[in-house]
Amino acid sequence: MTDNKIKVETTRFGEIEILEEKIYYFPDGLPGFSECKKFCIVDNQKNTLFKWLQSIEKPELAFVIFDPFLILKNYDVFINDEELKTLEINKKEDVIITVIVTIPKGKPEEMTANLKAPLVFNIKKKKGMQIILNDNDYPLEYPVYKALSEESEDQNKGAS
Amino acid sequence: MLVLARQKDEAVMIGNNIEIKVVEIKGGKVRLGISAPSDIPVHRKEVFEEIRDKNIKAADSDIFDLETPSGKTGGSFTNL
Repeated sequence: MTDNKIKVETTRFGEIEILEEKIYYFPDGLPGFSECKKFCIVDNQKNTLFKWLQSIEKPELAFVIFDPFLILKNYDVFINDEELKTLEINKKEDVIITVIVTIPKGKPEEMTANLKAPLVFNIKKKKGMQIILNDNDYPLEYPVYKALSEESEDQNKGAS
Repeated sequence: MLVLARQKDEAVMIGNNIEIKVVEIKGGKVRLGISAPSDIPVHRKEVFEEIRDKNIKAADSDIFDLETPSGKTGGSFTNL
């Protein structure tokens, strides 16, 4: 049996076929969307810096996600015991952290990332959760575009 | 809503294992100590609401024609 693809109805991408292994279960949903527990990862065609977290149950619901370590190398995510248990995490290698990006319509340069509440994925068990970082003072709106611009400037300087 | 009067060092039990204790009362502010099983998340209401509101806003994002300044790709989440 090689056919482990399922069809997912989405508002943004139409009907897509997704590998079953790209589906993550969020036991608690996400704040504001507690009824949505199954999501799949959709690659973004034009820009591989971003992916989509697409709800399986709600076609119109999709979040833009991003690797926070690209802009903040020392980003420190503390996952408490209960969260580790819920996500069935026992190996660090199975964990991937992403953050949700908000992009105002027509103003991509004003995009921000929510560093206060990252998404934690267990890629082995296919589980996910949005956790809240209480101890660090990470912002709810971190300017991503600006951070990326500065970084590419630095790279250009290094090259010249 | 049940309203109870409590003094400093007095507590309220919710069920068998959640205790909320008044630790300090000072200048219109009450400090609460909360003992709850680890599977009960405890957050300031405004923090939870902030994140909920942020998620609702984020769900409205669009990036079909997005160009970013950096030529970087991927990051560690390519395995997602």
